[in-house]
Amino acid sequence: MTEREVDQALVERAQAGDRRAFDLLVLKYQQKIAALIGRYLRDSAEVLDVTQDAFLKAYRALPGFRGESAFYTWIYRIAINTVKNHMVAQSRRPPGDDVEAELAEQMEMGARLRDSATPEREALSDEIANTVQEALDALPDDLRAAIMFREIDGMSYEEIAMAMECPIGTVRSRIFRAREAIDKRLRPLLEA
Amino acid sequence: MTTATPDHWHLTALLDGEPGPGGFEVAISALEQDATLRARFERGLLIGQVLRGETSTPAARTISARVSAALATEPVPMRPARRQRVPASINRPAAALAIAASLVAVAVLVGPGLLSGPAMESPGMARNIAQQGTAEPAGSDDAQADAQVVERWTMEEPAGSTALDALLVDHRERASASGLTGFIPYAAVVGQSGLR
Repeated sequence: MTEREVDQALVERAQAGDRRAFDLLVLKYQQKIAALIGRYLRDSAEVLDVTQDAFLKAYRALPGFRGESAFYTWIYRIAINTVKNHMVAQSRRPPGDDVEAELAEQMEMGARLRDSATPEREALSDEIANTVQEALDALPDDLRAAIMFREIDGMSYEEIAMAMECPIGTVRSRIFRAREAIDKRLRPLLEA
Repeated sequence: MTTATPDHWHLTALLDGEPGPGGFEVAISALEQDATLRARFERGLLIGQVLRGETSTPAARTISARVSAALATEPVPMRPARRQRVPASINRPAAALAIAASLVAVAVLVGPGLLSGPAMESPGMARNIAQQGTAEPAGSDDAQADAQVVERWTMEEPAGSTALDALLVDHRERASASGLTGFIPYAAVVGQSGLR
């Protein structure tokens, strides 16, 4: 089951009336969509409001989603339209066009759209990033390699097993333990 | 380190998009019911984002709760049920068969009374026709009938006359064999008549 298939299964559950399945989709993509909208808007409260609005619009439009594209692609488009409409309603001109925004998302080169982080937001983001990096550095080599293969290189369990010359079960275990170790350090920061 | 439960294992597999057979259902059910597990799932997503160098927005962690609260008062937008189409290859013969069966049933119940004509002709008439068309000898039991004078029309074309004779013989054979009158003895199953 690929990530897209997992999303599609959640979408189908939500379409059948399972609202908690949609909650999981929100949970999964709230960071990405908020980051996307944060490239258009400076005010963090406004970012949260528009992100919430985008998800609500997606929920209402969910019966029409036929799975011809990935769920993320679909919600991404809704988010772009939502933030643009929001800016027009606020008598502000939306910057650039969709292609520009997509390039910014995909290539991390949207400098013009990205300077919206407040000092507080940047500080917390930096703290999270530093915590994760420190936890990663403290991991044994085999755990660090496994989680990096998975999260950074996007390799499957099978590919990692071949690269590390070990059974898939071992890969699964290493990734699990690596996440646990990082989570242990990250949790107090997020719960504070 | 936290004690790992089966749900935790399913969760990490779900995060990696590799839940395995049955793992998806287990993980989703666990996530839907356990808030602690949901928080763990969310942190797992965040860890992946940070490792990939993607922008993280800490305040965005509140969005799922906000959306959930906003949706609590909304009706569920159900997907309209698709009309299930029966393939034409299945549908048409079934309909044709049903219609044919209905017609036969009506004909059996109503037809004989309404449609039967007067008992035609004597056996001798057909026999005479047969004699003309096929030159078959008449049986001795039918001597009286043989003696009757049978009037019939004449046709210009010999081929047409022969065909008509054959039809009349066929008619007599069917009518006398089945004991039925009217059109019933001639009823043929639709679709088979073309094969003759």
